Amino acid sequence: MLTGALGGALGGDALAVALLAVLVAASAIAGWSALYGP
Amino acid sequence: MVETITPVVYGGRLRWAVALALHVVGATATAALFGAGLGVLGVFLEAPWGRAGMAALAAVAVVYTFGELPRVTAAVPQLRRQVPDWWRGFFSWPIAAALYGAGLGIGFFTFLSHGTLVVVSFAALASGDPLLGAVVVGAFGLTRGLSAARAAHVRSQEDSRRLVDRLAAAPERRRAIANGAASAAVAVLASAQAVRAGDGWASLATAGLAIAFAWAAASKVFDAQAWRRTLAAHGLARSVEGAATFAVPAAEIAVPLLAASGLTRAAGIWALTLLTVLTAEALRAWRRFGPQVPCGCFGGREPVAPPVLLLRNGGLAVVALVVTMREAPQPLLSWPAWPGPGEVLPMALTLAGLGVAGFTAWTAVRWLGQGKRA
Repeated sequence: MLTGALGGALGGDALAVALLAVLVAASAIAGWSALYGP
Repeated sequence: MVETITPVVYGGRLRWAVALALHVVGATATAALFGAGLGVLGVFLEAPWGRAGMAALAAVAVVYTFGELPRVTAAVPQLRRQVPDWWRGFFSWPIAAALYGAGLGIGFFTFLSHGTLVVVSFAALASGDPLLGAVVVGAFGLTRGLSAARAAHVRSQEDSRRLVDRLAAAPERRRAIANGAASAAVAVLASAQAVRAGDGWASLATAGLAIAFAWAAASKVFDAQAWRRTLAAHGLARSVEGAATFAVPAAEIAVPLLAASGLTRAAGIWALTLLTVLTAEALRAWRRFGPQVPCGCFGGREPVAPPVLLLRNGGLAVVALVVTMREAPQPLLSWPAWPGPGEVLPMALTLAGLGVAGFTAWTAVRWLGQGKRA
């Protein structure tokens, strides 16, 4: 589960870590992409 | 927006560097606050929703992955507002730089070309964890703020104009691929998490029903004129129309309040009653005036085709049935008891603090409004 992601990151749950990392990366990509808007 | 944070505007590279830092802090702070707010909202909506929540996240991510394909469009909720130009002349430069960042941090208030922020925001909501929400959505504000560094080499107004033109003309394809790949990766990993997690469907159904009715009520309250026009188009008796103006949003907001109070059965039954009454009224209006009569259900001003409305309300009725039949959860809202002897002073201080904060917010809004007219 996603709430376990931070705890999972500390506890070494690979899938939770991967999901959290991908969400942060997706968020960063969305932020950079917004530069090209009006 | 990038033209508001350039060395030309701030009169030198050092000032610009400070302004950029403040801009990044402003954007990151509001994005993180927004994410934390979604996490808190998730707590009120019983998130995390286990398998159901991860499946829903995967579904949202799939929608916006396909939305990045050529000739496919997935609607992205956004207000399409630009940060006001007058801030630059009205506030001192450090405050203006931070405000411009803060104004961009909640992406939905501005322009968004990609739906990746929707995916990320849904994840923050589904986590039911304010810290996680802040981390995940805060990354949006951080890079949105940092992206103003693209203006580092701007030396004149002409450079600034050229940069804006270059950004506007930049090909969309690479960004579509990056955003699509990110959403697809979220979909895959959320699906894998859904396999491992358990249940959560009743909690997600309750959250969905609460959000749908809260949205319906809010759209009527915040755009009261459109709601009055919609009611007028239904040709109701004057007294019924007057009562419905307030009674319908009040009845709708009762659904999320009942759900948050742990009275899920009452919330489900009340939602079913409302759906029945409102659908019957929409059908009556269509039979009398034709399908061009708007239903005004969720704030939309366009008429909804009768089969679409029946399908949507039917789907909501199924969700309401699930909520009616579920086991009641722990209430998140309950009537407060009278304070004990040792709690009177903290309560008074809290109420005074809330009063001061409210007055400050009201004064700030009035002040900003005056600045806008100046």
